[in-house]
Amino acid sequence: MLGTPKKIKLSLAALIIIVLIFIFHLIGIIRPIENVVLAAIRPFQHGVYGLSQSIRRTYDEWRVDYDLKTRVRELEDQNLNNLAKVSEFELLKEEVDFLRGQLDLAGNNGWELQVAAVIGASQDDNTQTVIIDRGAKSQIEKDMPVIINNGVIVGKVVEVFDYTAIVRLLNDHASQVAATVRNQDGTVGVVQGEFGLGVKMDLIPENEEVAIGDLVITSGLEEKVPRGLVIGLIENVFGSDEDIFKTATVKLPIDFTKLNMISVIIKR
Amino acid sequence: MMWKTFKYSLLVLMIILFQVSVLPLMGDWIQSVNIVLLVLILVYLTKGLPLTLMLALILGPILDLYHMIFFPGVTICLILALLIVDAFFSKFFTNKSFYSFLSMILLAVFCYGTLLRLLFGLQTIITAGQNYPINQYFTAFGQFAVEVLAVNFICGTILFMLFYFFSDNFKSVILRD
Repeated sequence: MLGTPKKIKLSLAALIIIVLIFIFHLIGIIRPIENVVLAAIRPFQHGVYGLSQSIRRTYDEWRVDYDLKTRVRELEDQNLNNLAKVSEFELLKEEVDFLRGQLDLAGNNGWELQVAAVIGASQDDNTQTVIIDRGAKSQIEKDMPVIINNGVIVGKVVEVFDYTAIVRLLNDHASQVAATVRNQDGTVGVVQGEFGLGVKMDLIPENEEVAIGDLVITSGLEEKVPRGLVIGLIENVFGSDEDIFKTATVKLPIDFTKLNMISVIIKR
Repeated sequence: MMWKTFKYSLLVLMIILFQVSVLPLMGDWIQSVNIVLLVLILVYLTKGLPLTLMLALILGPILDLYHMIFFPGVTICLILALLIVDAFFSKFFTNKSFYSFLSMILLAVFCYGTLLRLLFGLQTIITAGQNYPINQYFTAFGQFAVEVLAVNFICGTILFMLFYFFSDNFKSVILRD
């Protein structure tokens, strides 16, 4: 494939370096170097990420302004139809706000939170992750839940370095959280990500009634994830009478692309 | 030597910051830009394979630290993509033209994306078990592939133009008697 002996030598050298990097990483010899590299990049990430967010916000504002002008007419037409939906949404919002107030996570439950800033995000559509500026030195450990707004879970810590950590967001395909629906049956299931497109709740027993708009919260069955963190609202329910389990899509209450400050529950 | 080291360190830092902290925030299509590959192809055309591989071996492991794929999956994909591009360049392209630059970018982005998904799929099968809907990966890739290639094509064009105007590396040489 490569042609000349020099290129073959180069390729072999690259291969050997990759193998060595893999082995050294596996046995942890280069962990201090990794920590130093990440710690060195972190201050720059702070500034750059903030700047990127400002640019994104400005662009979003401009786009929203532009869209608004073009959509005013459509919205006027839709307005009447939407009134009923708005009313329903307001009721749901009140319910969510009330429940959040009830939860009042950090204060009333005695949980210890570690506040962190988001300084990076996943580089491709394979994964939905964010990088935060706190790590093992701030008592952050793997599998700890990450929340915002005093009780909305956004994901779990999957990788911890000394001064940074990687958080797998709920909409990542590999994300799994034990959840329960706030309905009469107290339905339990597993909330899973769907390739960045949203989240779904699997393993809902067929005989249990799950309605659109039901609140989904964490069930507390996982060691580090407390019960009651808000995941979202049931958006759609799928499944026939022959199925043993039903599946529901869950509408997330927040836009994961706009995460800025988050909290990690470091002690339940 | 010192100046060169500083220059390349700065380049590495800029690329990492762009790839990890800027592009993911910039919305649907901008986040498909693979600034790492764009710069590596540019370096490949202007400075040759050895320096490009060296840069890839520095950039790759750092990007691996931020990626969920097994370590050093990103490095492997980068190196393989570059070697494939080099093989094509040696056989099919005769100069450092705009067209060869863009062709190489498209080839590199396609190879990198495919390899990354293959490795990620393999990792998913091993870690998540046989029941995992791995075919969704490739369906999703099919949907995004055109967009990814188009976005990197446009960005490659801009990068080439910028480099063309500010550097002599791509300008034609006319030999006179």
